[in-house]
Amino acid sequence: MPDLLTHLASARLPAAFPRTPQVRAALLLGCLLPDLASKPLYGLAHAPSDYLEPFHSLAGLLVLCYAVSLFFPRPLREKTFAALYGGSLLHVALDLIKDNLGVGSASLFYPFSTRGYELGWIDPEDVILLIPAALALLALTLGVEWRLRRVRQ
Amino acid sequence: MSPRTENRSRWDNPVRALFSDRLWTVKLAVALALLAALCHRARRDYERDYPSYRRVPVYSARLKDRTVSLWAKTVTATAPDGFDIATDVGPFHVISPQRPPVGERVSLVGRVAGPRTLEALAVQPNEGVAWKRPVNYIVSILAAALFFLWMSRRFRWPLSTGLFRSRS
Repeated sequence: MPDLLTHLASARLPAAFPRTPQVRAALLLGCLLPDLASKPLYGLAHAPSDYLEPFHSLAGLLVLCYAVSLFFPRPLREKTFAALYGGSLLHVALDLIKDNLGVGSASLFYPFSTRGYELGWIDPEDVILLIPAALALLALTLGVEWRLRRVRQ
Repeated sequence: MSPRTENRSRWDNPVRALFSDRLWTVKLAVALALLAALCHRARRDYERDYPSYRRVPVYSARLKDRTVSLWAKTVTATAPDGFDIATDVGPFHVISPQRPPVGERVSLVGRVAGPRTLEALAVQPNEGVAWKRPVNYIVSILAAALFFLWMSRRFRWPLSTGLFRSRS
């Protein structure tokens, strides 16, 4: 997996667009959700990795995002659900860049297929080399937002 | 519109009903049960389609010609036809034209050729895995902690009306 900082940075720019704070937070939470839900089960509860595949599939994430959206206030649930799911899809899209020797980084269409998909652009262990780029992207986005806020004031 | 009519129209729209407050704890329980069922099914399906290398020492005849994958295993010896790796279920011999140096970590996808023997289909050296993976985990934990700190400052958390209520 790319680290969560890189995932967060990838969603920071799209998260600048929603006006409601909850929807913005949901988009950012969504981009962390597949790993936040699965890694503790793997690392702490020793769940087998096969068991956790649905956390990176389109159908599994749909159910997970629906469950999380129920914790948001009623009038915003549909929007926060869409934001959570959008963020989760962004997470999976970023995971696809890994080169897992053809095995695939995400089984997108589980439970209909167990086939894994990947773009194979980067060694899975080398994803930490993206951290400086993620930090630069975060700084740039925060800088542009701060500047826009000042212009509006 | 009377409350009864409003209520009926809400339930007439299944999408709105899915996200309504009515029986939200039941909906949450059903969603979590569905996710758990999906996970249980995944374990069975993936074990069938992609058997674990841990089964190879015991079921090598049944798994012959099936493909298994191993991640970040240490090379313990080289041989004329390949190399040996150490795993949590004992050593494996890998038939491969590549001969990574002893002590290096490699990931590989291989076809089961015999008892504890794999024919490599793809080998990937994992240089620096000993420090790269801990850095990945530390950065991830810090990023998640900072994110939740930001969330806790921005939102109030009354469970009855939705956890994420804006402070502003």
